[in-house]
Amino acid sequence: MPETLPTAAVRVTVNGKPCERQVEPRQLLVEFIREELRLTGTHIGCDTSFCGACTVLLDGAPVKSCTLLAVQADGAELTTVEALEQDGQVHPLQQAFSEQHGLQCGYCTPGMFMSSLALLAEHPEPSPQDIRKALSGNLCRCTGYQNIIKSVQTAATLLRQEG
Amino acid sequence: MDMQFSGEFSVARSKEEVFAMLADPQQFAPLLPGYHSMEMKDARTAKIRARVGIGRIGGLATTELSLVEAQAPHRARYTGRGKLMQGVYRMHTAFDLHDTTDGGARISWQGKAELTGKILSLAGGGIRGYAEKQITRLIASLETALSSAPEPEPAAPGGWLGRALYGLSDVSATEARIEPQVAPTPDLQAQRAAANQRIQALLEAPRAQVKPARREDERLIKGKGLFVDDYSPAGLLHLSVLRAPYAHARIVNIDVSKAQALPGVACTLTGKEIMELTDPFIQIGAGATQQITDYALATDKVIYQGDPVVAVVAESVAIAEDALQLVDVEYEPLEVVLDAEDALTDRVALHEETGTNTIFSGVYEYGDLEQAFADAAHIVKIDRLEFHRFGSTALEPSACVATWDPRGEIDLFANTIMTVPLAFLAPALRVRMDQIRLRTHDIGGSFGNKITNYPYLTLCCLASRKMNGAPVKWIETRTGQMLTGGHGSERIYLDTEVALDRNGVITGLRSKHIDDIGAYPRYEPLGSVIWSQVLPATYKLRNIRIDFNQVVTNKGPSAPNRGYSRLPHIWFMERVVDICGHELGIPADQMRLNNYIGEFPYETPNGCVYDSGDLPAMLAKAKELVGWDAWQKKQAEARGEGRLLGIGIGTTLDSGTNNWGQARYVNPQAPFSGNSTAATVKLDLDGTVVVSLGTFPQGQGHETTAAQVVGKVLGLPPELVQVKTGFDSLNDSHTGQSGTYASQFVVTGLSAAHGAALKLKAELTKLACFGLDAAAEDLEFGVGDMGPQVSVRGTEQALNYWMLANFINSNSASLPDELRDLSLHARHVYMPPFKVPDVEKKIGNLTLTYALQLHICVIEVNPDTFQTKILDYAIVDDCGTVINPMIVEGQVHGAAAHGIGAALLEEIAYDREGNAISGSFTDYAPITINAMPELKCANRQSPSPFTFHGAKGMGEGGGGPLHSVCAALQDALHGQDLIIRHSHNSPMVMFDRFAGGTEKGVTVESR
Amino acid sequence: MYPAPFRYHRPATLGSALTLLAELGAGARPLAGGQSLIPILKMRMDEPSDLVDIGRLTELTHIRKDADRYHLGALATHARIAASAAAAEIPALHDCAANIADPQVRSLGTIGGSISIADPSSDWPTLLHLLDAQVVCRGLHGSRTIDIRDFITDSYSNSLADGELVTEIQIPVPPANSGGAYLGFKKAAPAYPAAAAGVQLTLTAGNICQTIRLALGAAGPVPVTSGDIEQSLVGEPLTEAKLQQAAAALVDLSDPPTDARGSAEFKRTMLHTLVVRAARMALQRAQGDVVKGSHDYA
Repeated sequence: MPETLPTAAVRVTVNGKPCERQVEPRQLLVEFIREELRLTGTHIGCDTSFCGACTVLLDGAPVKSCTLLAVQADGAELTTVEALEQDGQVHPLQQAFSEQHGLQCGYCTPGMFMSSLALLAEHPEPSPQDIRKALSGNLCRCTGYQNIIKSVQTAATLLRQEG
Repeated sequence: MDMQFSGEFSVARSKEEVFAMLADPQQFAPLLPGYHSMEMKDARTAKIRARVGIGRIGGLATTELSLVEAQAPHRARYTGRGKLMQGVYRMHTAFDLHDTTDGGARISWQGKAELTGKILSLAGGGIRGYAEKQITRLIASLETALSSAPEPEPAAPGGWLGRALYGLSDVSATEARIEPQVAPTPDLQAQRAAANQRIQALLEAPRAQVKPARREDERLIKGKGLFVDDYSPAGLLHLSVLRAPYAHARIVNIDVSKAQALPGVACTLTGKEIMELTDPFIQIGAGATQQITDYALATDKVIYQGDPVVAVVAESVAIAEDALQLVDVEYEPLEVVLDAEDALTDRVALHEETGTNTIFSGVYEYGDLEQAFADAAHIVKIDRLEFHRFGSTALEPSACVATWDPRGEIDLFANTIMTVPLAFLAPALRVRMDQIRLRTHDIGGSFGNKITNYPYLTLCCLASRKMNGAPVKWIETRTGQMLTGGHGSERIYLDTEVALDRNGVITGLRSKHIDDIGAYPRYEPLGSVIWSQVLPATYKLRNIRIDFNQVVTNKGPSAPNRGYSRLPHIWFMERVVDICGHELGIPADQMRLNNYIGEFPYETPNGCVYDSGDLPAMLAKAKELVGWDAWQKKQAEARGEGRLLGIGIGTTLDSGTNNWGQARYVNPQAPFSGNSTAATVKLDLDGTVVVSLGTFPQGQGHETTAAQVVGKVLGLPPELVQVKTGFDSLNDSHTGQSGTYASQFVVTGLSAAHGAALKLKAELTKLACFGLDAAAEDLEFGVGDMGPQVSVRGTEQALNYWMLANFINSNSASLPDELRDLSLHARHVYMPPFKVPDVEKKIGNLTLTYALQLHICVIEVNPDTFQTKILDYAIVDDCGTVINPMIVEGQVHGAAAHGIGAALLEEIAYDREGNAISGSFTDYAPITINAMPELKCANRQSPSPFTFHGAKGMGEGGGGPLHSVCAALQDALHGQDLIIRHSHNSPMVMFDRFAGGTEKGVTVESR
Repeated sequence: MYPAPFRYHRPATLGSALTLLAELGAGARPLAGGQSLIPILKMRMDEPSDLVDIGRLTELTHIRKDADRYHLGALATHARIAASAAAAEIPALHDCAANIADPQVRSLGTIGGSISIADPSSDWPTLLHLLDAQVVCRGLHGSRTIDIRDFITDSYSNSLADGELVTEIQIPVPPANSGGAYLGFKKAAPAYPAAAAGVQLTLTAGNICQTIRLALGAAGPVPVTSGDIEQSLVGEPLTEAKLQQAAAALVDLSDPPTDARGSAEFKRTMLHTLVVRAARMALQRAQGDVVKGSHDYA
């Protein structure tokens, strides 16, 4: 029978909050986020690093949390969809996706948000081509993407107005 | 993958010496490359562990090697079977020994190896070359070993499997070492800090209290949806499924002992146990199909790659997956049937208990074909058309959490999409339906596919019962989903003959269609009739004969897939019209206008009633939208430059709201007809209006539109109407046909909600008449200072909903007797005005509404590589009165993406042995944002005369892009004398079909 | 899907990593960004006893330039390379780094990890062939520099010894009047390319080819190159006819497998098309034009 292999510590800041857990080294970051921290807004859609439903930000960069061990993220700052809403009020990105009907079933949406945030951090006024490139690793099976492109453009406008 | 190999070499040892080594498994095995260790099972059979891999990737393979022939000193022959890297292999090898003139031995060897399973998808499937190298290496190492005394190689590491299966220790003495963090280099630190800051700045943007555009958005945009995997009750166990590596094999033996012994494993289930605990799932079809024994796990045979063989239940998914690796299944591969025409011959029957692969066989004939062909000015013959296998692959895989408590109550939280699976589940589990509480919450898409996930729901229920009521969760893996979780059926169309008059008007059509539904019927053979809802597509021909067959093959079982069964038929009709137009030299738009149905309502030759629409007007609008004339000019220029540019029209129908009576065409005994859908609208104790639907929404915004409709009846803004999320059988708002399928919610779901709201309004009216002492005609429904109320027109007198609710719930003594039968809990079952169809003649109205869509695609094809680029795309849809324009447009976009994906990118393909070669998203590559053109959309509204609001169901979309893209490709390639006969046209498959020249497969006889 | 259990180590220095790898032996694997390795582990195609996380070794993250070469630390991510001065100066490097997979994979995936796994469809080995890159490897007993041509030996195979790590990739600074391009064809960003090709060249006055490198990717177990074909183009003006001829000759040497990404014949045609397009683009760039390169999607 397999021996019990040693666990390892994961200390991360998630949406501004420090968290620490002792985990099996093979635990994927997405499991850590969903099961250890019970932040279930980040979803799992495939096994092979294709669909991007599990996208979170790791030190400001978008990553697929199903293709990363939790222990690899030790010491990092993580941002998930749960960072967007504050006291029941929504972030312009959330507002824009709803307004433009950039979501239907909502399963890909948290990943779309995280990739979009990373894009908007670099390109406050993204062209449709920029948006396509930034979301090229995020699958959506409902919307046909057209309203997602519009949503990101609307979010950019809202953010510029407010910024 | 089969590999044959042979060769010979000579060594300077005697034949006898060589034979002694080769014919002794204990001497032979250590000669294998990567050899780790072995044990003898019996005198002739060794269990060998060896490290097998590709370059730096690999793991421990186990092989059972048996000496099956030993003729000293001439011949030794081995067979072997083993597992490696998520695949299985079998090998046969024989060595024949001959004397050489110099006293040595010449060894001639030949062998055969078959490799199957998931390993074949490694490196995009290009591992044959590597496997061949491995064999070369094996022979080289044999040659070396036989020539000289072998140098023992150091034992290869056994890895986790070695430890788990054989107690091999290969973990070095080194303890896990995690050294203190070292800060990243300053520049990297600065880069990360800057990136974090930029994100932080964005996150600090002011928030707003915003009313979401749909009420579902309220939770979904916050990541607060409740999908099945988000639900984790205490004591949860996890179920994982071991899937067959073979497409067709007999199960010789299953050994779960090592898996069961793994710490953290709760239990296992095998087919044998399933046969004891459950009854086979019911079969919808008639005749031999009724004999099919379909269980939640394979019993004596596996009949497709991915067929579930063993389930393991454990404390975590990771442990369950560990345990799956420890299960040993011995298979005896059988011949596979992968082609529909081959399946029809019954050369090999998949379901031996029936002796046939045919699930349905029938003729649909209308009008006078003989006369139509006798009178024809042109007869166009198309030898073969093919509609391919693809799936909508909803982003959330199938899932459930089942809790079967010791008192016999089953709580099933799942993402199934209709109540029909309950009818499969309950009898199989031998329980009453009331014992199962089925509920759903948020569902991450389905597109029909999740209808057939009930075998896994069954497994979870059984596992929970076995574990004394612990909740058991199953989340389908994507790899599992790609193998088995919802493929649309394939269809081939043979010997099509089309009669046309002098003007290119189609007057007759005959063809033979075969549906390939994969391994198990499950929801089939309903697809054998559902296509006939759209028998003539959008065309006015009256003489049609289709010989329809449906067969099983050794591929994943199919499931309803967006556009189920109608889409393949409309695609066929569209190809027919398009090919005829091209062959007869009639411009594409004119060909459509010549053949379109004129006046609506229109009764088709098989008695379906198309409710409303104006096809020429839609065509005109779509042409305007895409800029038809300008593209015609550009096309002429492009052709002048040798570029291949095509413009294609796709006209499609989305038939919604089934008459279940059509099921009697496939099984006259089927106790179904009509279509019942329920909803309840009640006032809660505090007067809140609460709507419960019988549907299973997956993104279509049912909560939003139901609130709109109920609010309108009661004179309330939608936000004052609560709609419960998801389905719950305890809500008592369902019927046997409730569900989210077949483009029907807007009709069935909203009609039920509307009807229930009217009933509630009638009760409120009675109560208000009493409470306000007023006549019904003086009452007004609306919102006052104290919320929703009923008031007396022109006065201050009003009763709010709390007061009205109170009469029934807490203050009944004041009520007069005649009001004491009120409940303020209105349930309405909507039943569309269907009749039972004529089963003999196959005539009847099969669907209530027909939404229309017209697509125009402009595409350019690279003449060398057959890469395509969509240059322009326009869609005009007409789904009658639009209840929510935003949601309708969203459905149009989504259906367009599925169609474009299927037409150009997505295909579920199998190799000759039945290995799924698109077994992951990476290989299947569902359409991404890069491949989606910008869509130009417009809308016409021809209200349906058959629905209370004039709306028609439109969610499935009719697969417009499959028609328009194929027509555009045809237009681009017709100058090359190429015919688009397949629905899937990725550059890869077009290249293979067309680059080396092709048979046209189309002839025209003109008189 | 989960990897099989393994023991996890995270050394703080390169020296410590090499010691650990030597101690742990053949059952251990180094883990860099994990973008190739973790999917393999999740599918349980590989089951190492130990993972040595080298992802934080500060010795390996650099991207810098000295007099005649760029030094890319093995842990330089695709995203950082794409945004680097090196990519700004070598367009083919940008074409490759900025188009590998998708933004998420580029955030984590590293150049050293990619060539260490040596997937036959991966982008870096092909690109590095164009740029005459050298791979610096370090083991417990010292380091050595291996030409990329000798480094990649087969599918998923390279000349790293057990316990040895790639530490740096060195790329000579291209001379003036150089240009290059790297193009791939795939179904979607996160999929592996079905075919890829790159060209790097230097022109003399009068647009005569002074040096040229051509390489095909996903075209067999290792990138396909030919010194003879390259030599035949040197000293010549690169006419369309010459390019077509060279492309055809190079594609003749390729051996792409028939698989889910297309038949061998299709891939050969695609390789031909891509290498000719890359050559045209390289020519334009060598002449100072700014041409945006991009992968093709089906």
